[in-house]
Amino acid sequence: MKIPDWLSESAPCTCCTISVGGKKNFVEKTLVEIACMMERSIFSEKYVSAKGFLQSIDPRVKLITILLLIITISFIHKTEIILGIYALTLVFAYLSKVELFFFIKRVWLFIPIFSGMVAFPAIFNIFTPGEPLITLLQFNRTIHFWIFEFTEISITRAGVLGALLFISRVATSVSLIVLLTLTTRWTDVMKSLRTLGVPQIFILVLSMTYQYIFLLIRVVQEMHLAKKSRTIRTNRTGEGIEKEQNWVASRIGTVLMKSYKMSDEIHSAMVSRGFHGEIKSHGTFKIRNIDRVWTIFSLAFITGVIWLNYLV
Amino acid sequence: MHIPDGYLGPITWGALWLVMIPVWIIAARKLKKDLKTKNVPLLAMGAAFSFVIMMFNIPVLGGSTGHAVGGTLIAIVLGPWAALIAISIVLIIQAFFFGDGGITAIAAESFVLGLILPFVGYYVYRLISTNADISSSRQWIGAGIGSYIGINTAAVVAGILLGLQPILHPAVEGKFQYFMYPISISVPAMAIEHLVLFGFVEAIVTLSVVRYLQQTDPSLLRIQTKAVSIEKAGGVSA
Repeated sequence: MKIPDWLSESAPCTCCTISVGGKKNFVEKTLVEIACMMERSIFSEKYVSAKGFLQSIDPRVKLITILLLIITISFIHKTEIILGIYALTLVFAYLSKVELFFFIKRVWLFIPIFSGMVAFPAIFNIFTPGEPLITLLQFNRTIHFWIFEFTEISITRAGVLGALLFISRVATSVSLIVLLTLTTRWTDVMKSLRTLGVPQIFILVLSMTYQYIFLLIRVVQEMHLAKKSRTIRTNRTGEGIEKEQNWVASRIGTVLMKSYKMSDEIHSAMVSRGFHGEIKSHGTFKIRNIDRVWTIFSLAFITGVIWLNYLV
Repeated sequence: MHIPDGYLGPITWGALWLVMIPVWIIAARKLKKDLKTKNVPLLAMGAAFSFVIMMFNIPVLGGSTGHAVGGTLIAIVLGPWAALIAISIVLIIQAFFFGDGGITAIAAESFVLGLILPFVGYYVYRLISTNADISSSRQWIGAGIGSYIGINTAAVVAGILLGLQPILHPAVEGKFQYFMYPISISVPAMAIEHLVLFGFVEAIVTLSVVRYLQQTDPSLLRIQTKAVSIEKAGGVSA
């Protein structure tokens, strides 16, 4: 199904701004997070139905080759190679009609930026000793702090290169998995897990979970909207915090009760439709020439990358 | 506590896949003992619920908010083996469809959040609440303490896994390959934030939900004890 333009061109994404400080209270924060999640899934639908390159590849072939690539990246220790693969993900995003700005934003926000913060201290000589690039502070005696000993604070070459390797590995892995889910229907991704030996019953639970997550999230959203619309004075001073905590706990408890009861009803509905513990999947995947070419290309690429990494 | 791809080296994530595959198989066998068909929607709803718990922000002191993982709570209601499966499913969905957490690290994350957290939390809860009445305050006290210890143990284990990286994959030409800080930094960093903040969020959520269930629908707290007693009775007759 194609999402109409007016629906997909929504208001500026509020979720992508990490709010610091206590401006938003917990009700608003939850609502924003939920809206963000919904938005992400709507955007994913938009690209799945585009007639691009990766969309035309068999989901099983795509899943396996992308997973193999992610595993390969985990073994590579040359930053240039990983950046080369990153560049290729941009090419394939373009060929698959995914807007590059959206793709880059989706990949880099949160995880690689967070990883950047994690890696930042490691560029200094305190964590990664080595040839200094810039010396920030020079002491005339050895400083002992916790488990560290140092005579200067400087940014080291090895530190910067290590951080770069770390961030590029994280970002490229995220890019590959985002590329997979943007160009493949989630039901097809789940079905394809079967080829990896994941039991059918597990895939059924996985698919049902994915569907019911959205139902339960809608319930959570309505609870918070109801509370927000009934709140006259927002409580930001922290008084009555216990009451608010109890409110959250009672809502979690309610969702728990609802989902437990619902699982009973779903079970009855499944049994009355003939479910007896076995599932037959109606797979209609077909391997075509483009899939064969893609498989050969991917395997050759992975072999080439490993050769470059270890032998050159 | 999501671990993206690239934080753990192949030795660590590979070893944890080897650990978790048999653990998942054992969990599946344990659950098959009960009604087979009923488990499908129960696990799906349990997993969907554990995904949704993380959407609830709870106010903590100083105007800040946090969210719980809910592992101990799910283990109290559905049992630790069902919690293991439910949380693993959530981690798979988050890794694939929401880009949270790495693909190679799914087993490592399931080990920390699906195995360590609910099992430690659940058995501490059981230890405190043994033979306690459903309405007893030992139930929610046990839930609170159990979830606090559970999440902190998980945080320390995650810290150890991350801190092992510079040892397992030493720096090549001076640059580190994966997570770069040693155990002496990663464990305190993980432990401190969980001891002072996330542990309390987890404990507040778990104990308040258990108290709420005691007042409104105590039967939910009995599912587990019922299943255990059925299993025992079945074992005797067989």
